Amino acid sequence: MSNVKGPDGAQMRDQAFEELVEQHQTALLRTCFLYLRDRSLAEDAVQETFLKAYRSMGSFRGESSQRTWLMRIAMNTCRDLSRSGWFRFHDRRYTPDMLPEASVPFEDEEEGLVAAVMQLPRKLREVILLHYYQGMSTVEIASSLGIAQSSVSGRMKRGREKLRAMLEGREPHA
Amino acid sequence: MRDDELKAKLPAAVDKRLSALEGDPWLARRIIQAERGDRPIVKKKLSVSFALILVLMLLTLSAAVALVNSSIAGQLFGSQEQAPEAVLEAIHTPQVTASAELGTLTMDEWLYDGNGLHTAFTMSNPTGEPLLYTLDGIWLNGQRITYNHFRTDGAGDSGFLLGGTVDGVAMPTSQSLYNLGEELYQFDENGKFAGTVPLPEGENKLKVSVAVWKPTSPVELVDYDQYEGYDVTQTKDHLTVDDSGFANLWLFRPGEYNLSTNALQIPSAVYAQAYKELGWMELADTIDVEIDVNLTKADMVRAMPKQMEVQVGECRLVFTEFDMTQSGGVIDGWVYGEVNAVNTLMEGGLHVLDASGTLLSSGCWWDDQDEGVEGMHFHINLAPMAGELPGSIQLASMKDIEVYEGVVTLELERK
Repeated sequence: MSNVKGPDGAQMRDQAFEELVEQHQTALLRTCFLYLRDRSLAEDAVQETFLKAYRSMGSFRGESSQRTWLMRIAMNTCRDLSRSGWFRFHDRRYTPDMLPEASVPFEDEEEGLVAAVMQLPRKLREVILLHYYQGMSTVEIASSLGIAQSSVSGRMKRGREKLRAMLEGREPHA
Repeated sequence: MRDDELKAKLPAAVDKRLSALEGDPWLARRIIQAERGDRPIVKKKLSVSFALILVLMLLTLSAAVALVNSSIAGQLFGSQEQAPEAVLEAIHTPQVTASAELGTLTMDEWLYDGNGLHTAFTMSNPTGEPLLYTLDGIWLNGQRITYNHFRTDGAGDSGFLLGGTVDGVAMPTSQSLYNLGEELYQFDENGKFAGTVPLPEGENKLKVSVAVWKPTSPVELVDYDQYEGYDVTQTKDHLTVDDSGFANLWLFRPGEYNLSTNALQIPSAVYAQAYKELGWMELADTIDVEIDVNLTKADMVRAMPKQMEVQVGECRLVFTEFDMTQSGGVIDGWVYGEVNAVNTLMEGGLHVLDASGTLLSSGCWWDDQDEGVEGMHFHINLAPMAGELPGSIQLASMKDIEVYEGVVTLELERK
């Protein structure tokens, strides 16, 4: 996505944007849902993320990957939404029955894993999602979240430990 | 869990369990058109359950459902009987009514507790014919009380059908609503959103405005719980309501009629043409009720800590705001210290307990402490409390889901 000008440039930019949305939207929606634990907030976050992405496409310098850039916008958007007035009253507990109905079959173990991730404290949940679901490296995650790489590694380790404890029943789970 | 295990399992688990969460195929096009100004459409939608929660929590977002107890005391404490005397005494009951041919609007109660303005009001339909009522807004001195600017409100979101019957089900003839407004929206001279400001204390004019609509085609009775998510094929050419009279106005509205609004605009004015073209309803009237209110913190007894700085292990807590009343309150501050110590303290947020360990806070959020930034900002909301204001509280870390460990005790004094 380079900084393009003129009618042909605008058309190219729009086409690039449509491809960006098509490529990332569904995974982004699921990431935002797991982060915010609310479907409508997640849909807002996705829309706001792509809106910001469209507006700043001209300034994307290609210094990071497209996904890293998009995730940075998404994580900041999710953080802003999680600080909104509504979120004050959000019940921190989350149970699998609160998840939306699936359109394909799934295993109980898979549902339990998803619910456990959603129960993680936010900072641990962020890095777990970005690394293990989005497939980003620690360098990319550090760039997206604006934190040190060592912080990313530390949070990933703690996140995995908490998940294991929850899934083994050693910690209260939902 | 092992690294390789999580790598192998999580993507498949998420994609299968959340398989129903799919992207909106029109999102890119809608954003491009909105940004070009081709049409001012950025669709925002709410799930039905979320809309119901909003109504119960923050009516500045203008979703509304029938409330069993619409009084302020009922909203905060569950019932008048459970409300502390001090709160009941602080609630004003103006009972001012604005009457029009197509309805009445009564300001029942208001309460200012220093953090927000609670209002309770009632819309009534005396005509016997079914009419839809939507909230156009709540203003203080002509400035809109806050709502989340990501969402449409009022006529773009929901309303209440009062009077008559729908599919043989009698609709209520009145509906009482509760709202908590905490800030005012600000706009610059060009009409651009410029943030929010606290509610001004002292003498103010409070106005509530409701729009009245006449359905122009037969209204359909539906069960909104049957509908999930967004489906472009589920549009309708008529208004729908549930058996309580609640009308979800976005669920079946065609995408091209989703209009963006902001706090400067009147939702009914924005949507009037759209609903007329859709054949749903026509805007028939608006009803305003306005009263004078004197917002003063002196209405409520407040508790504050004797010290605004406290040491917690290796961290120092500094409170920039600490306001506790029986109707709720806020604590705002910063945590300073070595990064790891701060992150450990704040991993699950800070929470407030009374001396018996009962949770007094309703939520906490906090910023990250990033490299090069001194301190971590946090904000805690306090819930209404039916008992007396405590003489001391504990700040606590959350060690686990609903497991708190007190880290420091604060003595409080009353003002």
